[in-house]
Amino acid sequence: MSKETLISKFAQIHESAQIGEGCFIGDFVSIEAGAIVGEQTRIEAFTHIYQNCEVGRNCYIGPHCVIGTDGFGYAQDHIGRSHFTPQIGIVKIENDVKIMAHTSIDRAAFSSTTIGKSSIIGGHSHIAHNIKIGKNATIWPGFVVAGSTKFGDNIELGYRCNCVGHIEVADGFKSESMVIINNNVKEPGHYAGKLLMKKNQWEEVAEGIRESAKWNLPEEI
Amino acid sequence: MILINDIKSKFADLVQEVSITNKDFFENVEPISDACENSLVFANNQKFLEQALDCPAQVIVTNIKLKELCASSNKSFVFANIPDLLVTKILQTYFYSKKIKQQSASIAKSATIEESAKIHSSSYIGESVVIGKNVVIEENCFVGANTVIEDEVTISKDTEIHSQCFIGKRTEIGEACILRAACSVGSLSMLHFTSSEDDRGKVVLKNFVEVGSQTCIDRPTKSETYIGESSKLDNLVKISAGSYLDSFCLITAGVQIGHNARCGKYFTIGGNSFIEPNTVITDQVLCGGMTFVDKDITEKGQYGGIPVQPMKDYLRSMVSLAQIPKLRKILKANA
Repeated sequence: MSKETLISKFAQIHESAQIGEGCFIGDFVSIEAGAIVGEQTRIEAFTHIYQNCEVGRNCYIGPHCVIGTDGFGYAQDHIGRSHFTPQIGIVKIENDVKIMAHTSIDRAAFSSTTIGKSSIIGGHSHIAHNIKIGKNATIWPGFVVAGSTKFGDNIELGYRCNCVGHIEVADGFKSESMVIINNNVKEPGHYAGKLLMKKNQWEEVAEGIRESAKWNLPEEI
Repeated sequence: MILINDIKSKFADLVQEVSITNKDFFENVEPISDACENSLVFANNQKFLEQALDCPAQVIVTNIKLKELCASSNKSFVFANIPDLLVTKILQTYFYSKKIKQQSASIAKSATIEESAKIHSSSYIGESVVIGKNVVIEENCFVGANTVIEDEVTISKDTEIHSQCFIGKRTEIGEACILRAACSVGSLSMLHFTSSEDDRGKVVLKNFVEVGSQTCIDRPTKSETYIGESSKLDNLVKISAGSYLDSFCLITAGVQIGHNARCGKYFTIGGNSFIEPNTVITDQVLCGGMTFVDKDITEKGQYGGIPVQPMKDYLRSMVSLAQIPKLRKILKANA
């Protein structure tokens, strides 16, 4: 363990974990075997980092975060019983990433769940197994994503967005709050609404919904 | 090095057929994008199979229905009727060891344990754990650091409770359950502050239940919150007081279930959904992501939408929604 690192006396750090210089490890933090925390990283109270996960340099992990818990992977047999698929990958958080309170990031089934350099993830978010998030992502709180989706660089997602699994989202994708990303996004741009439309198209739909209360519909309707 | 013929003999009930060409073994299981020559990759549909055929991996597990597409390839194939279940079994058998449970049986010095608690000598209690009165912890259990277990909790054998968890009064946890970090099982519900009844409720987790990190299961003032056998809860889930989840349910991340809701067997629901209090859902129901279940579901099938409707109707209504600007123009023109 390097000098100048501040570690709370209530923190539990496994002897095989590596903590870089100038880190701050808060009260009741648990860091399991083989985990790596880069230099100048701050990990706030009650956060738990599971075995072999990697946190880069100059990162911030907020209180009550859980990094590297098993992904929600189950295979169903012929009568519908769920069998846990072992999650043997890791979580890799690159340098300068900020993760806010109560966020959980699942470890990959194989290889790694990756959060790209300089990304910011809001609180109460759930990043599932095998997710790849590119550089400079800004994700506002309440984001929930299913597994194996790949996000490009420079994305921005509004509050409480949802995303299905196994899709690819292009670089430069931006969305308003409460958007459901339910399909591949190949074009960058500003999207909105639960139909994943370009923002200007959704504004027309939303305007129509609001106006519909005043419509004089035919009597048979 | 794992031989394909070993897979065939060990999982004879799942493997339909094998086709071995130049490579009869593999060393690791990888996603198609990261595969190397010695990898086994898994392709459960045509799109993934095409990618797998182009990747360096020489061993592919796929569905028996896709056999014809593999005829011209010189790679080795394992054909299964449920390929994802076969890969799960391979991972469980060859690549997975429960590292957490390899901790030797001991009780950390910094743990605070009431005298009346009964802890089996084969269990592990981590640093700074607090254990209340009359708690029973059976053999081979693991309790991670900083976990708090309140009075009269029963934890059956082979259960893992990871760090920073909270287990409230009278909770009953079955065999081989896994409670991941920072979850809260048996915490007081809001209803305690709106009712004058005494606190007599409890949470019951049956055998093989898994609870994700930061998930919260409330205890009611009376009766119980019940999670059936082999049900799995993802991260950030909220199960309110008095809810009843039957066996083999899958609840994904961010789902909130209102108080006294009842979900039948094999219930599956997508992320960020919400189930209204007192709702009853029958067996074998599947709900998509961000569904708002505001009324009972009495027939098995697939559902989605806000409010909930059968999946076909939901998809149709989504298409109709996109036509609203056109409808608006027509109505304006006719006005």
